[in-house]
Amino acid sequence: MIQYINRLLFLAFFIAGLNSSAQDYYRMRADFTIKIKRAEGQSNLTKGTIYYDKYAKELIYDISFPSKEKWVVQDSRIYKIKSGETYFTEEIPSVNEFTVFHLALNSSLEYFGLKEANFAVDKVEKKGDLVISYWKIPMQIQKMISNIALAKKGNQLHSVVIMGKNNQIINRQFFKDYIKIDGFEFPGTIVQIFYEENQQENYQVMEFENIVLNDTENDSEYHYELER
Amino acid sequence: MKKFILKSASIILAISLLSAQNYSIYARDITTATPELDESVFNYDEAELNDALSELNDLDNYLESNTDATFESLSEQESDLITNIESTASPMGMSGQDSEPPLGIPSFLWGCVFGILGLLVVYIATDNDKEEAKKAMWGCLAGTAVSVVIYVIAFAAVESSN
Repeated sequence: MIQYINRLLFLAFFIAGLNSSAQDYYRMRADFTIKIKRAEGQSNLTKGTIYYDKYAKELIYDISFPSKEKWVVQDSRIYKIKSGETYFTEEIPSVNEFTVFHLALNSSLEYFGLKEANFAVDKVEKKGDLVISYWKIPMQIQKMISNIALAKKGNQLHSVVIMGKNNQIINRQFFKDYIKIDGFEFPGTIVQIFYEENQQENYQVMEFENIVLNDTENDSEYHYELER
Repeated sequence: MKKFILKSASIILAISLLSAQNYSIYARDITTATPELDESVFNYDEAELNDALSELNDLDNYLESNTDATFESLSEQESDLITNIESTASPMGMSGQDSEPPLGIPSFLWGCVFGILGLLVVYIATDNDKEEAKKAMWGCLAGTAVSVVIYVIAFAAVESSN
């Protein structure tokens, strides 16, 4: 009988453990700072707070610098709003599901979303403490991107290298300073280096802090009611 | 078909954005050889990056303690912190830039030189970007004002010669 109770208790703890590790993270907000340094010398600094809900699929940038404004990305349209007035809108490819926010909330960042998108691994190798995987690129986009290589350190995405024509590197991305909140992980810093044809480097650094998950008390922040 | 094209465009943009991807087509046989990359490619020079971003880091540090500061307020103070810094936001990174003025010619000049027609060109070519249209409108007003002044001077000159 005692053995039976022990088994039941073990089963109960096991199921509880499964539930806690499979917690659904569906909404996040974070303070961001984006620094851009172009090869030709100009720079850009943008600061603010992002709000994203993976079910609403609405991405809101509440910008505090260089000026106070909001960028709202709903489906395949972006709206730029100042003082409550939309001053710019245009149709864009639907990008919200491809953002680092959506990937992290779906625990898909580890493989940069490629695994879930049914990209196939071509080759895997170990170099130092990095496990590097090379991914097959669908024919349709090989004119733009010839290869993608991902490097993982432990279970975390460490870097991504994207190659263009003749396997020339066009973009390198580095994910670091991971912020861990229970089972959720998000890179505190993302460094990107874009290469021009003459191999000059453009830098972009995205920094995130003060992450809040599943915020249920501020629903209105995650949806912007546009004036139609 | 439209959906397919949009999805394809999405992944290209998304990858370059950093923001990764969801491509609903299975990877097919590849024609490009898989490269062999050196371990150093997967790391970057932190010191070089910090050096490149030093101006931005100075501005960021200032903003940490002056949270209400905007580009406009710093510009009014003629602050050195915004030298070489763009006045527009770029929260989506390098891929999410504002639309370029037509042919790369500043919108102000379009309005100034071509008047209402220039304003119309800017408005249409920038996909209804009101900020660019506003610049073109200022250009249009400036151009008109200059024309009026020239006309008045020329008229006065003709009158005085008579």
